[in-house]
Amino acid sequence: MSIVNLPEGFEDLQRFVGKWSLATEQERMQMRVHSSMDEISEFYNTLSPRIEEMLAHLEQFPAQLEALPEADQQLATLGLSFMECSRIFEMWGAQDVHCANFPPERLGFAPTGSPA
Amino acid sequence: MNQPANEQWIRNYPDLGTEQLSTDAATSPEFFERERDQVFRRSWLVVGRQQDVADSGDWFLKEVPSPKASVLVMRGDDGVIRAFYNTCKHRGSKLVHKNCGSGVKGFSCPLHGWVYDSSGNLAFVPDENEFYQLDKPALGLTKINCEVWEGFIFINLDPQPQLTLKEFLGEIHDSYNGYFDGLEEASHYTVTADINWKLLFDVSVEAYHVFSIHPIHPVSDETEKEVGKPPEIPEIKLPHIVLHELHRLVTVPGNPFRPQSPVEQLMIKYGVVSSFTFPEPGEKPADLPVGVNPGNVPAWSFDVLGMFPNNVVLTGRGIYVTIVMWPEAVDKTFFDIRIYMKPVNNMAERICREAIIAMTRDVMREDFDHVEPQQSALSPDAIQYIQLSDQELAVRHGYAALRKVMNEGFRGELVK
Repeated sequence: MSIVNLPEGFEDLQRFVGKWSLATEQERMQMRVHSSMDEISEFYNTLSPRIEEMLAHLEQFPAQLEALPEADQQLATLGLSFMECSRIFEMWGAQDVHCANFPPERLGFAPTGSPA
Repeated sequence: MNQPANEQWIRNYPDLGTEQLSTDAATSPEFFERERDQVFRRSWLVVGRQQDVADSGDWFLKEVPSPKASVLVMRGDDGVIRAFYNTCKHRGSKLVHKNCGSGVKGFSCPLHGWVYDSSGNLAFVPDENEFYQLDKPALGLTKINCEVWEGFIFINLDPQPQLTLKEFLGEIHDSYNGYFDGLEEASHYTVTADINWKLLFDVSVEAYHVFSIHPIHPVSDETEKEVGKPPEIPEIKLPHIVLHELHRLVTVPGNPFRPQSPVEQLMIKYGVVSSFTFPEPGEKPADLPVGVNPGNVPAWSFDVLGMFPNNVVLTGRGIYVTIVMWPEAVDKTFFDIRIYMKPVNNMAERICREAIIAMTRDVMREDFDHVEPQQSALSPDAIQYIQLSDQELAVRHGYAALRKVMNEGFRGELVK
């Protein structure tokens, strides 16, 4: 998806769209674990005071990304990336768990509802 | 019955013995072959949920690696879920090649066009009068025993199963009463790992590893200034263990009183809570069925239901996780992992849910980080027996149940 402007009122978050507005759980996890702590800190610390407003705005939309207008989709995927980073950053100040023997690429992502 | 202080769980299950156990079960190719033939070929095995084939004409394939079987699961026009070998009865060609589909009336074999209807009956043979004596009613797809319990689709590759599914489930059959209904598959993962299937099963039914594998990671001074100290996790001892004939359950407690982060407060505001992240402080609420938190443990976070032979189900409030282990070789396993959660009503709830998914996935990856090195170190030259503590009694029970079925069949007695 090409980058569009975020919905009105969220212009200050526009600079994160290119990196963090990612449509799939797999992409968001990969971005988290391969980002530097500086990048994650900046993303987390900027979105942290805004996430409540983001959710208040996004509450009007259904839970399926593809049902949202493009600008709101990008805001939603920013929110999903924020949640992807939130717990590990808040609790551990890290981007990933210890996984030297089981690198993130080893985890396969299957479509939900599909057999494996 | 909860365990009185200073007593060990083994007192409730003296037949299990306290001996050290042979490492053969995870390293011996001969053991693996017996396990395949005596257990996996004869056990009820979970291959999916009924919502995976929600409507008539919906189907999926399950490629069982050991014993090798391509299994076609389909909901027929009559609404019944059935399982068949994915093999055309003309000349044994593979009938279906895709993973899944929906809305079909049946299948046409790609080799010569034999057609089967959605109930597996042979419906049409091109140039049928060129055959000599074709007994079409007898040439439907070969059926595999298939039953549904609480929405889980089970198959049994034994043409004449030793136990009905109800007998196989035993005491858990009536213990869940709709618990698994209404939650949707939120995430679905696969892993192929160079381990015996039981290594991950075993680590899932004890909490002794939690201190080592799921530790509080060191927090830098800078992060501590920004987000505060990490909450402390109390030492985890299993407050409840139930060992059934074949299956087993342990309860994992949490800390309901730890401070909530701003993000967690938002999750509560939007009603996106699971007991994985928010353990329940008091007595067991009345709406949970008897099988969930069966010990009525306060500060309950979730239970680990170890279903014989290869299915670990983590049951919490608003969430359950299934980890199905499909052995490919004594030291190779395919894992099918799915997180089921309460459906979300809007995008704000959907976003909150992602925090629980990321946490659950991270904890699971921590477990996977340790099992391959364990398998590689488990050489018979290095170690012949493993030691199990009382906290690992459910691991011991797993081996006892396995040996019972391998030695005496499903109706046999538990063997130490």
